[in-house]
Amino acid sequence: MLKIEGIEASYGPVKALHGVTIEVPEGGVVTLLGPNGAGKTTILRVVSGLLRPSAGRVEFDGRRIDRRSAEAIVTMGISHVPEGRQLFDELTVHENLMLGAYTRHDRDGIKSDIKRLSGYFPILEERRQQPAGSLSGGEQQQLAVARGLMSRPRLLLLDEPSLGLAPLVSRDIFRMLRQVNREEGITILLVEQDAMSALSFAEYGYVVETGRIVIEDASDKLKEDENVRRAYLGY
Amino acid sequence: MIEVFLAPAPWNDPQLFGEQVISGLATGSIYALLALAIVLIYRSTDVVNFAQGEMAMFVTFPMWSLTLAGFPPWTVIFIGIALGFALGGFIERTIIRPVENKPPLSVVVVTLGLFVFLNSIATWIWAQGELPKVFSTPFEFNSVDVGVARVTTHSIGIFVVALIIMGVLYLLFNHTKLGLGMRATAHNPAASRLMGINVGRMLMLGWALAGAVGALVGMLVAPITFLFPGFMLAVLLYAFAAAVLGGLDSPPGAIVGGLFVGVAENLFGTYTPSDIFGPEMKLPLTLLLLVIVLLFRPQGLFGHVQTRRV
Repeated sequence: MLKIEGIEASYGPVKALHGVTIEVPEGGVVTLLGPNGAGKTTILRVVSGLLRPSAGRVEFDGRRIDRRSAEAIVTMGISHVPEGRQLFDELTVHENLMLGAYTRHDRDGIKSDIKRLSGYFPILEERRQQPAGSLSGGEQQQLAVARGLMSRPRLLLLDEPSLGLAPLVSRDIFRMLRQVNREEGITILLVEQDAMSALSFAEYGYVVETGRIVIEDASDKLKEDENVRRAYLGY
Repeated sequence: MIEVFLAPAPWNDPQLFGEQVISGLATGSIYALLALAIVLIYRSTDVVNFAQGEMAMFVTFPMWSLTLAGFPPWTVIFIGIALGFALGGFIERTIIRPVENKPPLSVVVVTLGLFVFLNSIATWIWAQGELPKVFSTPFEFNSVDVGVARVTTHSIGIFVVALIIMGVLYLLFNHTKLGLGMRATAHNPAASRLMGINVGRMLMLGWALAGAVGALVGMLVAPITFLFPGFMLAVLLYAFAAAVLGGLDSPPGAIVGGLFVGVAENLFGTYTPSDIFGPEMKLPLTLLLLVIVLLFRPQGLFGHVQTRRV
């Protein structure tokens, strides 16, 4: 469904990606692992259109998207839940969700989606009129993921959903994502620092170091790989 | 010992006091509207638009030509609003967009340059004939009694128009999808792009709305001050004072600030001890009042203090 081929990208004079190739099958869950600053977030930003690559191509459903604007890519069915959530802090929970559905025009569908997502995350209903900035870290992450799902994406890009969250809270989020992937067939590309949770959830993984893919394999193979274990799993 | 005041104390002459307050509210509505335009641009694009008044002037002049050509006053008003809308959007797209992400000082220089540019061009095009020009108002200048005070129909018209505009803007921003998109863009442009919002279009729209409001203000002020290239200068000064007083990021603050400045200006102009200084001190005194407020509350009456999460 998503094909990233030979992507090179820079932030000004600093080259962040040196030829990255990744494939995400439809309905699958793929994770990107690696240390801070490796370029994992950069890869997601290239896919969602926030950063234009200097070389290579990105294909979604066979159509080339690396030259398109971020706004256009959202309408094509890709939703990016960015690092640090990037909620609209001063707007209410409800307004944040409505903004997630900005590209949609079906009022009834939007209403029923909000209801459904409130089923996964009750706080969305409880804290409906509260400003997003007043929520706790875990609640904000739930809102960020829900907002990302409001556009009814076919591909969901998640950047470190567990960052700064208590283990129980992040486990809830992964459980919800697993459900969403299984029941609605939403393809997921996940960047995670918590390699253990990521490899339990994803089917396939790529390890990124200093802008290059160093290892890729099915997640259970990665869990057993000695280098991966030592560097990212702590044993 | 100061014994000679220009005017009798308010309790001795309530009619004068009432008239000053009410006409102060009318001019205050003008300042409030222009301050709203300034706040609108500041909130949506983080730019302090020093050219706000000249943009208004630049639309009022061609509209004056239309009134000469025999167009009815209300038609001229609506055409002027539309022209102001187009001008605002055009300026954002061509002049402001290239410097939007540059250091703030660059943007300041650009809006100041725009100020000078618009003033010069307007002078060149329209100031060849005799100045100032008369600009007719759709409200006319009849006198009407409101309670103890006597006010002009034009003042009442200004007040009503200001209320309507504020209502429209409030509804737009708080009850429409477009308004939500604009608010989102103002808070977090990067996240807005990820929602599928065309951020550039939202920025243009912010300036277009401000341009439209500014044009309306220009056409409401010109009947009072008469039309000449610098006629919006004083208004802009008071509007800035009002916007800063209310809090540069607060629309309700702009309104309260505007009304406050309008009334203060009138009261300072009326109740001054003429031995020391006369009504010409009303501008310095009003601005002094502003400075005092800012000393105690630098973010303005309703503004937000910038908090940064570490």
